[in-house]
Parts: sequence; C-alpha cells; structure tokens
Amino acid sequence: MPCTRNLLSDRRIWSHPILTFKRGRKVKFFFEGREVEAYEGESIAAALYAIGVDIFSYSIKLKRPRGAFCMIGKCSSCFMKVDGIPNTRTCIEPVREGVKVERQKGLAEIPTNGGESDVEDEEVLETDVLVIGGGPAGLSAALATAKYGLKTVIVNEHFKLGGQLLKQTHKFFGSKDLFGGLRGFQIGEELSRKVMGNPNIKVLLQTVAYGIFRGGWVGLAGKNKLYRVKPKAVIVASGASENFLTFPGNDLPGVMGAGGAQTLMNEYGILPGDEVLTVGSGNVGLIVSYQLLQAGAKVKAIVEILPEIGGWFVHAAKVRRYGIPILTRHTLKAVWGRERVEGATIVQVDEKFRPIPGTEKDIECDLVLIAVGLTPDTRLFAQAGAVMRWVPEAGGPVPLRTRYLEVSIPGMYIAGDASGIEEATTAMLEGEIAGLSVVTKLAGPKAEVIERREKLLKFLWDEYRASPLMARAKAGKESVTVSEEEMEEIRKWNPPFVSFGVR
Amino acid sequence: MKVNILIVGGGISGLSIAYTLAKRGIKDILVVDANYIGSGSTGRCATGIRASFTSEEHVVLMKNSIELWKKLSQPEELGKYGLQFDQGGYVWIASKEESVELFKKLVNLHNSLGVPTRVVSPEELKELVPPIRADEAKAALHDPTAGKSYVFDTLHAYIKACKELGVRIMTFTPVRKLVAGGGKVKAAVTDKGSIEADTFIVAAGSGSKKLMESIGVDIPLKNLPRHIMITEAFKPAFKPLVIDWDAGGAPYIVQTKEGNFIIAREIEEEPEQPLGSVRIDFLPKVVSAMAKWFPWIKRIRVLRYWIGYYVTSPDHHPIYGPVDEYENIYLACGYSGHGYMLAPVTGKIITEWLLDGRPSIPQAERLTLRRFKEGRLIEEFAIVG
Repeated sequence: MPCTRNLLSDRRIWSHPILTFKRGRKVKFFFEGREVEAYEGESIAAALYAIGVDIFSYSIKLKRPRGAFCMIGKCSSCFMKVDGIPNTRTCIEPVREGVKVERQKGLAEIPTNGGESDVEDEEVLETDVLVIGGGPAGLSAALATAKYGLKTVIVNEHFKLGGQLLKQTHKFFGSKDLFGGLRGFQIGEELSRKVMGNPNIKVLLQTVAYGIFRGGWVGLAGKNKLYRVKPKAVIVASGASENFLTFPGNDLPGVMGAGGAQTLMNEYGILPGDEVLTVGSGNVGLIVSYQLLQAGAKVKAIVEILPEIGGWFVHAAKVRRYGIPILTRHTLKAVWGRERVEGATIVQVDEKFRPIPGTEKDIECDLVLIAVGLTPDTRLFAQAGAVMRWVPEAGGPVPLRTRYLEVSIPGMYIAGDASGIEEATTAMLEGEIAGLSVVTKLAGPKAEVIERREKLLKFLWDEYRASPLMARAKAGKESVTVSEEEMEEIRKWNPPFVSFGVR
Repeated sequence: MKVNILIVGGGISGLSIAYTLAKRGIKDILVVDANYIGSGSTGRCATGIRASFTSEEHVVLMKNSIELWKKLSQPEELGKYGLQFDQGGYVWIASKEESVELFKKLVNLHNSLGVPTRVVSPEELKELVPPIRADEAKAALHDPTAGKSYVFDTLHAYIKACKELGVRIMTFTPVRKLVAGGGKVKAAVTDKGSIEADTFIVAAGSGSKKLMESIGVDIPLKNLPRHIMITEAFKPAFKPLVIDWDAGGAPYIVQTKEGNFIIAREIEEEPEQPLGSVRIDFLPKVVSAMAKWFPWIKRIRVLRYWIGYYVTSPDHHPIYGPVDEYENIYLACGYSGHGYMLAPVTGKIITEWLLDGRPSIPQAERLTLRRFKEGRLIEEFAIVG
C-alpha cells in the first residue's frame, strides 16, 4: 500500500503576503519506522501533513483511508499510535525528538507491551477558581479572577494557550480596550503572556477536565497524571466543534473542516490543499477561502445551499473580487478520489433543498472545506446536569444562564462559544463578565467590580450585539438568558446534584 | 385510550414480555416508557448472562433464559434483527485459598443443578484470558455456559420484532399513577392521558415501587446505585467476563462486541442517589482494582461513566406474577441486578401466567410478592457489583 501520495514533499508556506511564520528548531521523529523532520512547536498532525501525509488512519470496519478534519482535538480523525499509545489525538500532541508515530488500521491492539504504567499518583489541587479552556474566553475569565486575588487554575487540552485566536490572522474591529487593530493571533499571544506572568494563575496544558462529580469535585487528566480539584467556582469556556455533513466520500482525506484548514494554514504555515471547493458561505467559509487564496491555493468555488450568502457583505465582496464564484442554491452531492479527494460533484437544489437532477457539475479539487457552522461544546454542562435548551441560533444545546453567566449548577459559569456560537470578541467579553461574577460571588460585591461588569454587559448587549449582523446570535443568547429569580425557580424544579462554593 | 394489555416499562423486560405475548397471538398490546426505550437499568447494564448462581430458583431460571437467548439469537427469531448471544463464558478469579475451597463447593452445587462450571488453574485462566497477569491467582471458576449480548443490538431487535407483531410502543410517556377499584386495576394515568386496560404488567424497573404504591401495594424494593464505566475500543482481546472474587466490591471486566471494555465494581453507596450523581473516587478505585490483573488498563482511556440502579429485593430475587389485592395486574421487577440476563425467561414466565394460569417453570411460582409476607425468602450470595 503506498504510504502517501508524495511523502517528503513540503507543504509548508515559505512566502506569504502578510504573515511570517516563526518556526522552532528542527526535530527528527519516526513515522512508521521512517525518520522524518518537523519543527518544534508543530503538532504531530501538522508536521505529518506538512510532509505530505494525507492518510492518518484506516477506518475501524471498512479500513477506509481517513484524513485529519478539525485539527483542534474535537474529533477523532487524526487518532494515531504515539509511542505505543493508541488513539492519541495527534493534532493536539506536540511533535518531539524521537517520538514514534504509527497509523492504526482498524481497531488498535490493547497496549499490553507498555508494561507497568508510568501514571503518577493523583494530586489534589487547591484553588478558588477552575477555568476550563484556554481560549479567548477562558484566558479573559482567568485574568479577571486573578486580578482580584483569587487563586485560579486554567486547564487546556491543547499544548498551547490561545485557542482559536491563534489561527485568526484578520485584524479585530473595535476599541483598543477590545484589542481593536490587532490580529487574532497577536491577541492570543498577549493574553497568554499575561496569564503566564500572573502569580495567581496556574496553567495546566495538555490536561482535560473529564467530569464533574458529587461533592463539587472536578476530575482533571493530564499527561500521565490525574488531579482532583474542588474549586469554589468553575468557569467553563470549552469552545465549539465544527459541524460535519453527510455525503458519499465525506471521510476521504482532503475533506476538512474550514477551521481545521485555517489551523494548518495560519497557525502552522502549512498549505492544506492546492485546489479548493468550499461548502458554506458563512463568514468562516468566506474568510478561509480568501486566506487560502492569499496563501497560494486556487479556490474553485464556494457552494451555498441557501438562496443567499450567509456571511457579511464585506467578506463576500473580497472573494468575488478575486473571481471566486459563490454558487447559491447549490450543495455538495459527492466527493471522489482514491486516497485523497480528487474532485467533487455539486448540484443545484430547489426551494425545498432537493437536488435538481441534471444540474450536477464536477469540480476537480484536492481539498473540500466544510464550513457549515459550529456546535457549542457543552458536554460538561450536560454531564453536570445543567438545564439545557436546544437553540438553533446558538448552534445546538446550550445551558440556561443568568445575565451574569451562571448556569443552573450553582457556582458553574459559561463563556465563549460554549455558551452559543459567536466570535472571539464576545468570547473575551463573556469571559471577563463570568470572571467578575465569580469575583463578586467569592470576594463579595465590590463597587469597582460591579461597575466594570455592568459596563461590559451594557456594551455587549446594547452596542456590540445591537449590530444587525449579530441579530441571529443575539436572539439565540437572549432565549437562554434568564433572571436570577427565574434561575432560582429553575433550580427548584431541577435540583442539581452538585454545586460549587458556599451557598 | 383502551387496550388489551398495558405494559408499563420499555426496558428489556417489558419488551420481552410484549414479544412473547405477541408471538402467542395476543393482540392490542401497548408498551409505555417514561423516557426512551432502554433508558433505565437495561441500557445501563453490563450485558453479562450466566447461570452460575447459588439458589435453585436463580439457576433454573437462568438456565432456561440462556436456552432462550440461544434461540432468540437464531435468524428466524431476533437474530435477523441483530440480536447476538456470545457464549464467551464467565471467569471468577480467586486469590485466597479459602476462596478456592468455596469455588469447589460452588462447582459441586452448580454441577448438581446442571451448570457445568469447574475450577481451573492459573495456567488455564491465562489460556481463557490471554492478556491477564495471572501470577496472583490461586485458581478460577469457569462457567462456559455464560456469556453476553450487546444491549443496544438486543433492544433494537426487540423493538423491531415487537412492532412487526403489532405491539405499539409509546416513549416519553411517564405513568404518574394507577387507578383501581373493585379489586381491579382500571387505568394508568399518564402525561398523555389515561390508558385503560384489561391487564396491566408492571415492568417499570426503578419506578415499580412508586407506581404500585399508588394503588396501595407495597413492594419491598430499593434502588441501589451501581457505578460502571466503558473504555475506548480495541481489537477483541478476550471473550469471558472476568470477576475478581477476592477484591473488595468484586470488580469485573467484559469486552463488548464493539471492542470497548465495560468495567465496574461495587462501592459503598446509599440507595436512591440520583443517577447523575457520579463520584470521583469510583474511577481510580475500579481502575486500580483491575490493573492488578490487566496492567495495561491504566494506559487506556475512559469514554463514559454512569450509574444504573440495581432494583433490589430483600432476597435478591425477582418479583414475578400476580398480587393478592388485584386480579388483573402482574409484576416483573426487582431483579437485583439480573434483569437483563433474565429477560427472555421473564417474558416466558409472565406470558404463561397470563395465558395458561401459571408458569411452566415451578421455581418461578415461588417468586411472587407473597413470599415476603410469608417469610419465604430465598438465599443467594453470588451477587456481583
């Protein structure tokens, strides 16, 4: 079986009109016994993609080739055996000297040859606040709680802080207070720097919060180490995952989340493909298409099943200027190829979204971007028994919350995309609001804190979300925001089995 | 609404009863469940099936059930809809001499009741369960007739077969209370209206006690929370369900047909704890207990951890059949952790009670509610996790 199309090719971007990529020192590691090179700071998945690896595994039942999809640890497409441990998410595992990486063909064998485990004893962590997620919302929340002297622990699944800011290369709008004028990754780097330098904040990277337990315990699993922590408050800013679509060939390598492609391209400087078809004309689809152009790819078309373009005019105008057709009332019928996407068939749809026979059109491409929205990652809330509601405008099931972002589990707060899909500015605003709410609760109401929180809330609801472009997201969030009194009533009807802090 | 037979509870027992009745030509059967099918103890169980118990009642019922599981898995019954019975056996490990002595006695008892268990050496244990580190095992009790059946396939098969036979199923329809008068149960009051029926069957698992209280019948059941978890999937590694008899809480492990490992052990727990109330001490406890035999367990990931109720009767045996107070209601509950494995025979017993006046398995007749009033409790000590 051929290993890859062109192993040892180089998909790294070495010249880019606006970005320069800082690469770490060269490291050598092993891919299926073969020595290959990467740069320190890359994930294993990114490093493999860069040298031409398309196939990350072979599926469990039919042994179909599978490629990477989300690149941020939210799916299972890049599971590989890493130093003998199967099912490792290689997209959030840093490449390191000498690491041995192998593809899995079907289910893995049980890892018997590892012998005794090197798992250390469980450690009990003492902290006031636990922040789950190290993206814009989580970092902002932690900075707010730490500022008022609360001991704060941030757990982050990824080996880097910053979340999806790190792949955002566009300049942010708004005032300096909201990082206006800076590019997303610069904001991410600045927040990370502040967090790392704050003596009240402890950061646990490559650590997952695996559950909320009776008595207010939270379980954390790091590399070979377990922690248990009983915080006085928890802020969950766990982000979102990219939606998928069903169509024949949807598991072929080269079918990738638009966000996944963005991670490769903007964070690691690796070109995800040469000829691209984008599915979905929301902002993400439009922006990533434009960025692919900048990085040197050819974008063949953007298809959109709705009769009108989903994203903002400003972004649509940009891609149109470069001659990329945006085909509304079109959908993807199938993707074809042997070991990687070689092309796709698109088809026009009628007003009920049914394909119109005879309107099929083949497009040759090696990358099909799926840009059809995100789903909030609310698993910890659901597991903890928070009262949830399905809100299409928010992207899926989200917990009810007060204006101050506390959910029906007392002492548990929500911020960022987990609370309903918006974008990084609102994530930072919500993060700080949640952080200040925790401060108010744990340290008592301080005029300064309340004033700042009200100012942020006012800006968020009455200015930022007042834009017609935010109307849908705003409606979604409004529908799950309840008053403190309503929340007390909700708790009476749905008594939580767990709570945080003294009540 | 009015039906011939109303079965309250859409777990494996309710479906099995509906299926068996419908197979004998009974029409107009309705199954209602408060939630979705299998949402109670069924969907939360470890899927093990065995006859190696210590009471005559359990052994006879389970032997019958295993025969039925085999029959059900044939293509002409539920096999065509995906039900599989995998007779991979059970292995109980002893690491103490006195347990080996006990195993020898148990084997004699099992054998006398027709269950061909035997005591095996650590070497044989290693053959049965290749990835085990058997150094600390003194011996093991092997039950080759035991096995497992993947719960979601089984439920799916029952649903399809029931519907094919004309059984109606209503989900998300909690029965709030029963209404009785003149020695008969008249109706079940649900959130979607009242349902009258000629005959009522209560197979409502952890909700059975409360439901029967509404017509003044006390069934001595406790809902004991049992904690259980499942790991990520791997290639088939071993077939039997393995139990460590001498460790506290009797930890056990079984690999599902999808390749995941289900692992559990008993931990001290108060009855009626809410099902969502998971405990942080469970995972390390169960993992360290299993790591003694399977050191690689520590290197694999847990996918899910949940709680299910052992709906437990005072003598750990099911409560079957009619009640004294009303002539048209039958119980099928209180399996104390064995409802899944008993389900096929439960269907047979309740069906026969309804249609033939009494079950063909005489041991089942000893399991009515009346035994608690009369103090005829049954002894069983091979209860796990």
